[in-house]
Amino acid sequence: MSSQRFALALDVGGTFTDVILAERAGGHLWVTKSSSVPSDPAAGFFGGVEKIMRESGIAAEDVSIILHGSTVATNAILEGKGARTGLLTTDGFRHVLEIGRAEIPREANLFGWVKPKRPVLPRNIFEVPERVRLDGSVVTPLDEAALARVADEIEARGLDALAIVFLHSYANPDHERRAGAFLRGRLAGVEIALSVDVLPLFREYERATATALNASVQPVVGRYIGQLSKGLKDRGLAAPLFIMKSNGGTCPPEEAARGGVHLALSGPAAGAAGAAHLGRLAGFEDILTIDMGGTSADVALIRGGEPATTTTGSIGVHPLALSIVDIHTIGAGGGSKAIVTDLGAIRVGPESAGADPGPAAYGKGGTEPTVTDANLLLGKIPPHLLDGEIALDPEAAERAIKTQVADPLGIDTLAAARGIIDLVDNAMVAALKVMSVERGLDPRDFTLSAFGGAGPVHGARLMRLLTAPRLLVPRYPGILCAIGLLATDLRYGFAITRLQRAGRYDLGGMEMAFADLAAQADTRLAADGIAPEDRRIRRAVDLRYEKQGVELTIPFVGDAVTEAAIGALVENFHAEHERLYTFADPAAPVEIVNLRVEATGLTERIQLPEIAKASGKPAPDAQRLASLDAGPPVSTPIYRRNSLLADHVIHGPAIVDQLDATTVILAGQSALTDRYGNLVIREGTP
Amino acid sequence: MAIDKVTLEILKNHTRAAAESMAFTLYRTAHSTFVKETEDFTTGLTTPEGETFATPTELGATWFVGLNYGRAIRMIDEYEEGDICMTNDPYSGYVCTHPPDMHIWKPIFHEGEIVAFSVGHIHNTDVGGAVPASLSRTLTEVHQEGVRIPPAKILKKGELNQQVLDIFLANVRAPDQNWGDLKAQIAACNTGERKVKEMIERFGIETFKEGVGDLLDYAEAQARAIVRDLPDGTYPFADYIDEDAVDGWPCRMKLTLIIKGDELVFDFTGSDPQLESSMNMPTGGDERHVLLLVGMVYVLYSLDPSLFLNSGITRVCRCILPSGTMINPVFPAAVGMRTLSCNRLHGLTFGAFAQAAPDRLMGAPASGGPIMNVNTIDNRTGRRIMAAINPMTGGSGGRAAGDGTDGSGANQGFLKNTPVEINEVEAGIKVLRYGLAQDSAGPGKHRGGLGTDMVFQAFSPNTKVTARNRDRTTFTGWGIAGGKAGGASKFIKNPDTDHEVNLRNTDILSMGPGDIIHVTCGGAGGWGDPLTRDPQAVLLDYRRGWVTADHARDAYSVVIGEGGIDIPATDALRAERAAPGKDDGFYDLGSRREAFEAVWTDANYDALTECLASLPVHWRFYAKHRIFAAIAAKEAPATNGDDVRALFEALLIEFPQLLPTAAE
Repeated sequence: MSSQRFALALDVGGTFTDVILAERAGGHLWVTKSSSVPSDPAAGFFGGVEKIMRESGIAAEDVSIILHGSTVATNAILEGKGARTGLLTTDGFRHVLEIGRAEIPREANLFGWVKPKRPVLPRNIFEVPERVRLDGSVVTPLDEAALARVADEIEARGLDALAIVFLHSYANPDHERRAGAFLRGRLAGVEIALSVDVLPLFREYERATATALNASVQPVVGRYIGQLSKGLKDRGLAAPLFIMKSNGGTCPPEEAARGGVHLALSGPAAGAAGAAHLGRLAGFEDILTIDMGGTSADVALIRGGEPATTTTGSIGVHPLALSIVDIHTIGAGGGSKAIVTDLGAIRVGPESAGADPGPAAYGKGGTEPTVTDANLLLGKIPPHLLDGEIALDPEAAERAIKTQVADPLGIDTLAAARGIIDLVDNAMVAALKVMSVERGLDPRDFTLSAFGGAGPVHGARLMRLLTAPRLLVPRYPGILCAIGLLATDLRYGFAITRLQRAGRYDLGGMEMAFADLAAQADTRLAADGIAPEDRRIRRAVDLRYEKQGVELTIPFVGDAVTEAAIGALVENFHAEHERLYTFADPAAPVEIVNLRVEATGLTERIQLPEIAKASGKPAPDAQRLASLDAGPPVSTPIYRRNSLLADHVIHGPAIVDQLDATTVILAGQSALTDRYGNLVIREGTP
Repeated sequence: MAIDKVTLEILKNHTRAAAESMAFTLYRTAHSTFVKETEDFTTGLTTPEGETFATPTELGATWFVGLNYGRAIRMIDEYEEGDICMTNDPYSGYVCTHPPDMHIWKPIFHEGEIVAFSVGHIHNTDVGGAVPASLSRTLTEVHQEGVRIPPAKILKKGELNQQVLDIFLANVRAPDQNWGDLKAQIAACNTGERKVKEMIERFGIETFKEGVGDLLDYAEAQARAIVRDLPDGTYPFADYIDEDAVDGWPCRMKLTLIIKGDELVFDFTGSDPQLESSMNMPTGGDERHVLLLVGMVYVLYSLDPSLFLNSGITRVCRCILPSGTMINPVFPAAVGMRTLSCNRLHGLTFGAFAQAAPDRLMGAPASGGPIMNVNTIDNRTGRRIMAAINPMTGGSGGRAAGDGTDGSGANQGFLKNTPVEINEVEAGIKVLRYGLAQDSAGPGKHRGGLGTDMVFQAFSPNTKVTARNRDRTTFTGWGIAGGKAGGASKFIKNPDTDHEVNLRNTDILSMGPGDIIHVTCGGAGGWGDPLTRDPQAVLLDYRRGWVTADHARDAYSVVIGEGGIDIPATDALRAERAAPGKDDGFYDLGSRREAFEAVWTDANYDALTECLASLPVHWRFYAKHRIFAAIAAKEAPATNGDDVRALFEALLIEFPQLLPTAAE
């Protein structure tokens, strides 16, 4: 009998797949990267699987759990390559999706704006007579003859998926369920998503968008999940597979196949989960994270050891009203271009040179100066990538910055390079402030965590600009999403709109609705094989002042919906409102809008390996001319990340190089290596 | 020494983030549906002189780029730390432009010196006055349009001025809402103050001050570069509001655009005299008033999307504003519905510029759909409820690059609709249909965008509906470069019944239980000859339900049969209609406007303008109506202005009291 000691985690990104095989009790960790295959994501997945199994020499039957972060749904949505999807809605409302909230992004030109494509083409939207009221009563019965005609039409058009969204269906799902059952019976092979299953909350456009996105990715995700299940079996990997969702938790493959839209932000959510996990290990529960890659930077917030979530997020151009990890993305990455306009203004990004041609220094045909070029010129990063596998061309970087930034602005090249870094650092600090200050939080109460290929180069400056007390640079900054996969639980959100006017709260009705949501949650976790003692049910309520357009989600404390519990809930709402928006209005009527239940199925946590303890001082490996802050380049000690041991302290200015990232420590700062190999950087000495 | 470009760019981003953060505070804390769902508010930072140097780009109304607070700021004698001032008086300082807009400003001090103001406005759902929501075309004096607070301190050294607040709240219909919104505004101003102080700490006061000046100069330089690229010339254009008062005569807005080098002149001579209705635009004669320049800002922004939006842009333009006219009225002309005139002016500005850049600009924006409020009694609770429901928006005009957008776009694009599921909860109505108005798009090679369309039902007696900005029932949105005008808007009570009523441009009405209203926004204008539109694109619109087969045939000469396009019939029809060498001119103005202008030619309107300008302001509207009525009664009035002048002479004889003034 095998010992089943290993967890396998695969984070499939656009270019690379990060793979970790970890001894569950915290022993050895194998880490590798393989190429993703965008045209055949399953092939990329198995490429990674085979590579790590080969490199580790571990037997397939010793793997006891497989965790996976996927961009299959993300890409289908962002590239508009979902299935041919139809939408069935209440008679009179077929254009709701097309009109949306009639809004135009504020930064767009109102007159010249081009509307992005909706997930369903207008011609594939159908109406049937039916209508329920807000109180759940039926005004117009569901017209089944009309439904039959719609079925014929969908068949004739050869649609692959269908979303069903009826007005007020959260108040009474009967019509949606019956229409779903009827059409499933009539239309074999058409994936059908009901809005009451995807997002049973009011606001028809947002609900329709989520449901339509779900329907459109269902066939794609379903097919992919099928390939994974089969392929794993073929390779003797019988361990259960769990897929990362946008809410920071995982779900089993059959759930993923049904609720593909929940995977939309799988990647960034895994990164936040990874940072949360490392933070917990390092003893930090409140963290601001910045994941800086080639084209963009993702900022997330971790409070009390858990990634913060939002219900007003988005995926690409679409609003996403599901509960998801709150991620703020800006166009600032290593490949972001520096551009000087005809009128002599300079900006950096959001245009990016990407990975191909990439920065000028890559020598792959890129001629425009980028953030990476500036970092190279300043000596912050070594003149090569991947331990020398790829050489960089400092002269090309210098040429690009000189001719396109320094000369037009009439400044010297190093000043131009510093300017580029200043701009991108400030843009990232602004994003970090959006996630903290604008949420009523003080960055001085948070640990900053910088990761991704480019994050650790900038982290020390960001910490200083943000006045955060410390910076955590993970041992493996390039694969934090895969680390995050090792640290997740099963997680599901259930919610329902139950509008309660101030002064007329229906305690019994709320108790029943909560009980119903909790029962759904329990059934779900039981089906996943989670033992009762490992099931965690958390209740929360969305409240608002009467006539306010935005709700706040407040945890519901206690087991029963009593006057006292509601009183406490409303008090907490006032307090949270005060904290977020500088005032509360205790005299104003408070409405209860949505009820939520979050279900967590605890799974075994994979321990990360500890590194050896240091007995002396760390020795620099080399020196490099570098200008880490203001001032001319000076000879700066370079350390190898691999050679750092627990309790090693490095005083800045210093640079730590590793395979896929470089960490900068500024003068006046010090970096302590913790027992997991993370660098904890502070101002002064530790 | 000017500050370096990198620092300037960083400062620029900080100022924008500050304004953004103010808007965010306001948005999340505001109480009224109107603010929360339609975002009719602004936030910003101004120089001590009142020039706006930072506005948000992600939230709020996008109309007021370059609003100048200077005159209002100067009306307060002395500022102390912790003061916050407010005004909603359109005739005090000309920052507020109709009474529902409460503008507030807070001085930001650094070592005893004012270094900036944090400012902003909210459109209050109601500020009292003759009608709920305070806005109606029927109003003739600003006194009827609600309580007016001239510039006053609502906070004095941080202490609430309870008296001013009480006077304000005693005069409004839903004081809790106004107070809630005002608190949100105060919170936003405080956020702005905090952000400016952070910036000063970070950059130093000198850099901050110089940087702000540089940001204004930079936007100006950008604007000048765009203008310089346009061909010099004089480009006249006019557009109309259907009625100058309830059941009135058409109301003309005339703009003669002069482009010379990197300067612009907007000559508004020929626009109608001051109206005895509420569509006047209170500009106080300020030749760079933002109300007049919104269209220009958007034209320049269309031509260069990298334009940094602040007051500096307005420096490239100067307006000529004859006094006592609708674009420069004198007290106490009513101004509540200036939104409608502004909307028309935005389109008019685009129309004038289109002659200078036909391949980069677009047809008329959709227009004429109302912003609606419902005031009714909830039958279940007996409670009176008042709520804003969907603004009826429409799309943008067709352009060289493609069709206009459908349902939303152009100058109403900052209005967010209210979900049907919230309308039904908060307004006590049932929405029977909410969609796009079929056949409303102006035909073209690239058609205009469709308007929206809504049908709803009331359930209580005496349900009052206000429908602001109703228009485009008669004159429709023009097409350019061969494109055709868009469809008219609709406002019908109990459609397809024996008690159907066409409400036309009515803006306030009563509904009984069971009554149904059908309302649409007019469509946007097209670009390019519709006979050159790809028949497949016409077919697609037909399949989407946006174009009927009849309209496809009439407007595009595309014949749609059972299985798709009837190609031979289409080819034949297109050949027959494509009259060789036919030139319909640059604009298609729509048949009703063409008929109107066959009588009211440029020469006739110029004569009218000249005659009216010679009268005292309070006679002008009356005289216009008399002359219009007389011309309408004539069989074949002269087109060269002679009849207009003769009628004017007759008026002078009829009213001898006019003569001394007229002779001056």
